[in-house]
Amino acid sequence: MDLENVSCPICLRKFDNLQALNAHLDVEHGFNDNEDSLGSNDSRLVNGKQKKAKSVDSSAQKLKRSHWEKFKKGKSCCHTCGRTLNNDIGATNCRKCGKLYCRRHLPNMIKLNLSAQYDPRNGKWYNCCHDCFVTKPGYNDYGEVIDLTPEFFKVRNIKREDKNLRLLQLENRFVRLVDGLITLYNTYSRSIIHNLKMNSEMSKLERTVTPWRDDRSVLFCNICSEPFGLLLRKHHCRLCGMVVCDDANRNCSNEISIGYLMSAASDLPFEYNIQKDDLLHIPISIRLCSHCIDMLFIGRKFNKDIRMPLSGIFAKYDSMQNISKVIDSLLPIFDDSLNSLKVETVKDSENTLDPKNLNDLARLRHKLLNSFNLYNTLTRQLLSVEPQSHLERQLQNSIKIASAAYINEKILPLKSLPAILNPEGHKTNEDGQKAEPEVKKLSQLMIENLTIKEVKELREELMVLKEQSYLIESTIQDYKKQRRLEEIVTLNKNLEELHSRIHTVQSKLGDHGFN
Amino acid sequence: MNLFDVADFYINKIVTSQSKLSVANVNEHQRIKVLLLDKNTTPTISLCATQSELLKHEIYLVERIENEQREVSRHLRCLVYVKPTEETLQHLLRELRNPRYGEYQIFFSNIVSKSQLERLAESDDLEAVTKVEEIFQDFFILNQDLFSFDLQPREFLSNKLVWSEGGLTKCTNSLVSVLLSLKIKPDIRYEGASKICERLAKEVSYEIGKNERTFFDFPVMDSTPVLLILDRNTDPITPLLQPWTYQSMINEYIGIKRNIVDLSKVPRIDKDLEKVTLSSKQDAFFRDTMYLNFGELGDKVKQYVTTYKDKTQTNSQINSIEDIKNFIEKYPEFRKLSGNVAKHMAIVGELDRQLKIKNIWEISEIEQNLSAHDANEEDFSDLIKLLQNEAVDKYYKLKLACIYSLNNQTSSDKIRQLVEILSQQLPPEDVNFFHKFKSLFSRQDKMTQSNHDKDDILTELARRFNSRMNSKSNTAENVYMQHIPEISSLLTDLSKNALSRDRFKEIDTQGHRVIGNQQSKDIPQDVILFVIGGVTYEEARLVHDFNGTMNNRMRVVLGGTSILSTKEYMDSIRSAK
Repeated sequence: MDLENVSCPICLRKFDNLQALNAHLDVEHGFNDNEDSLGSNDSRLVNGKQKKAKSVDSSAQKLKRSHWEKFKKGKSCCHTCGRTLNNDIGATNCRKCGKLYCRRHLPNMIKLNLSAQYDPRNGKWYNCCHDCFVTKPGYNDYGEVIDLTPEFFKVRNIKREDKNLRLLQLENRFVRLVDGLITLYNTYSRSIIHNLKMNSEMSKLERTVTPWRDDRSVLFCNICSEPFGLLLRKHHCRLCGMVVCDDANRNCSNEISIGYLMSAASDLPFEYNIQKDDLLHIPISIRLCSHCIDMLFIGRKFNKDIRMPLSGIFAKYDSMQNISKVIDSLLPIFDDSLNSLKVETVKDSENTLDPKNLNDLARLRHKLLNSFNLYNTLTRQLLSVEPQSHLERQLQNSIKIASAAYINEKILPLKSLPAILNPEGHKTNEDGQKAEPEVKKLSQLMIENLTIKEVKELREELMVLKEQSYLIESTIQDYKKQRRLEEIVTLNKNLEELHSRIHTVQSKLGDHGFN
Repeated sequence: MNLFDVADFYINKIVTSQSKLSVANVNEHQRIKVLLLDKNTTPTISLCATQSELLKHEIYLVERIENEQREVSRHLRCLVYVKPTEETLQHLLRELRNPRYGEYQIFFSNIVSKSQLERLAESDDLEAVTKVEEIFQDFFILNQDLFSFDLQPREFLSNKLVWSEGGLTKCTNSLVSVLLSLKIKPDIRYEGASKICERLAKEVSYEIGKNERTFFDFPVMDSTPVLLILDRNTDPITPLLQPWTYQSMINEYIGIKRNIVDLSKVPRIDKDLEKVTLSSKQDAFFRDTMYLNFGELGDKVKQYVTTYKDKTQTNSQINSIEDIKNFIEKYPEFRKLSGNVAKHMAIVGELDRQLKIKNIWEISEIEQNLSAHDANEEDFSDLIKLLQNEAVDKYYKLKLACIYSLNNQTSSDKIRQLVEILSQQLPPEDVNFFHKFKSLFSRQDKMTQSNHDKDDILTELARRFNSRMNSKSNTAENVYMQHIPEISSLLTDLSKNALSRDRFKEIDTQGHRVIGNQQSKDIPQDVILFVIGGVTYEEARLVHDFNGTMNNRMRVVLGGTSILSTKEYMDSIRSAK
């Protein structure tokens, strides 16, 4: 018999030795009927024909067995189902963790090396329990994520060095041009005679800052690629010297006043200070192509925007978040003390509760309620800010939903406290008075979270109810005149019911009601 | 191998992504977030996350990157989740050159090429990007063990046997992302007779080999997972039969696209119920009932309504302040429940209506008999009777004839008789379709026949296992569910490591394995079944039941290029060149 290469008679799978095959048969095909093996931990090696396998195997290497749980008749239980192990349900050790299991709860196969450790490469197949199977490394692994950020930054930095050089060059030219122009303006603008000279000096300066591209050979705008002609004039960008058009729609180039340019790039080292030298209205403009404008100013605008302090709904939202952080930090503390209180109450319902604890809890609860109130007010303030754009309106809507959900979720534990406080009756008068308004506040908070639709429905109901009560009241008056006292009694009952319903609806509506 | 876990993990990854600027500037920590999606990832997100989940993570705005009219607001932090297609990349480059938002964290749903990353880096002059990550969810998760690419055959095949260029790339990429998301480096096996399966298998294996170092560097498992690629056309019967379980019936009769059910065509439907979402992830009732057949479903719905009624009763008595408080406390839950009850009532009602007006009960019984029995006089006369019934829709008549032709190739007499009746009842193009269908599937049937023979040599023990499977997954006494889809026997074969090596060829991706020693391969413990041409929800149910029976000894995930209804499958054959 070739013991080194056997195959399963059922599924034709090959195995290295009989032992592995037996393990396979037991698990995959539901064999394992050898009852006589019980008691000896190794259920497989005692059975008739397998004895041979044992004698051969024992000379070869054997799986570690020292960690196996010993089988004790009538005492050992399956670690999954808890049944006492016996002949009928089998008793086998998980080859990995060594615990004992019944036949049904040792379903899986795992590759182990000789010291019973998981070894997917060189191990051999053995039975193992469900726990060992699902905890093997890599079994429940999912969600590959590759972080490309470092690589991205690396590439970006390389590209940026080049770009920064170009930007620096552009900024240098820009500063020289602006400074030069202002100097010229200051020297010549005082007298009218010099005006002509100023213009020629200025264009001379412009050409020294950047060499102008020869425009005779240029037939198309450098940016929009439209052909030049009578209607589309050629212009030079004063910073890069490119020939571009000045089409109003495409914005390939624009003349922009110096004052505006300087204030947009106030971080550059100009000789003149825009405020001090009163340059805001200086009547000089510079023609710039859109590329240069983008390069000089998009980044500046972007950085300026980011550093701008939060305003409008963003500022409000910021404070909302701060409050919610306070709530989030307080709630677990509150929960803990509440739970311990509950445990106490259950343990000795006869004893009075420690008034100090109770007071602390009440104070904490009070603080929380105030925070919720603040949160709610802030939300309302945020919602009342007139949105500047469609985007802000969308944000407001979302924040509204989110904050309502937040309050709904977080306020739950607060509700259970009065249930403990009130029926006990151990609290002082002062506490009692305090608890009352708090309950009201609580319901108020909830009411403010009614959706518009609900408010509408409730209002409609209220209207109908009020109308009915009015009708009944007038009927009662009529009946009184007619002396039909019996009917009046029943009507009065109806009226009472109506009033109580009106009251509930009104209290539900809270601020949204109409009086 | 729970796909919902994968989805949750990835979405969580995106929404909890921390701002890197926050370290530098404390004031910036609470920036409101905007989620920027493209046309591919929008459905992915809507399948796996609810609005309230997003709101919880301060995502107060969801925008599409294709929308050029978005307003600038640099106080917002932008989470970008897009598929790395050329079109999307162009949008992204434009966005970064003049950023609308203050900070960008970019997540790609599949592998980004080096050149794409370089272009992205080049356009980020303002250093607005603080994170770039690849996560792998370039597919749609429908159930915890079912995914789809939502590709119709005409979108990925240039003709019946050949992939279109773009279709192959798309499919390969998506399939690779499935593998990566589950951290699996599988052995690939494929339907050897099908050219398209072979092509896809080779392509996927090439991609795995190419990215072996960077992506597929997973620890070796004790048994190598298997990716099994099948061709829909080898089992044409399954997608032709009328389904009877909840999820598949909704797909068949009402239509469910990415978990959204469109009820607008239902007569007298409530306005709130015209479009409802139905996800086994969020809807516990649906999770319990999606695999039940129509009879069991009726009981469950009845039960559901009763519990709902009980709850309303307790709520209707509002007398004291205490009651009001209780009411308000339970109100959100209560409203949710009532919405859910109304939703399922509407759906089940509509299913019932359709079943009746379309005579599905009779049709389905004959269908099932035809597919499960061998050639049989009784079934044939039933079929003829139904074909001559004026009340039955022409579409179903044609379908019945097609099903008959699949199982009864030999008796040309009867086929002739059938054609005769068909030409009386149906327009000529439908009769043509029947002939086309017959010729398309004439060869394949013989192959499946030989496959059935093999079962006879299995030993008694193997059969015992088989029957245990069947008793759970297939209620044999139910005349409407006699047919067992072919993947059932495939899965059983796989679990016994007895999958035919002649029929399912293998591409060896594990370099270390010695070729020629294939007999000693281990039983796979993780299997991904992918069907080119689409899968049915009926098969999804089968896989789900199989997973339940195997109890972790083998885990199977099913996927397809799309999810089929009978009509979609007929149409795909009709339009095949």
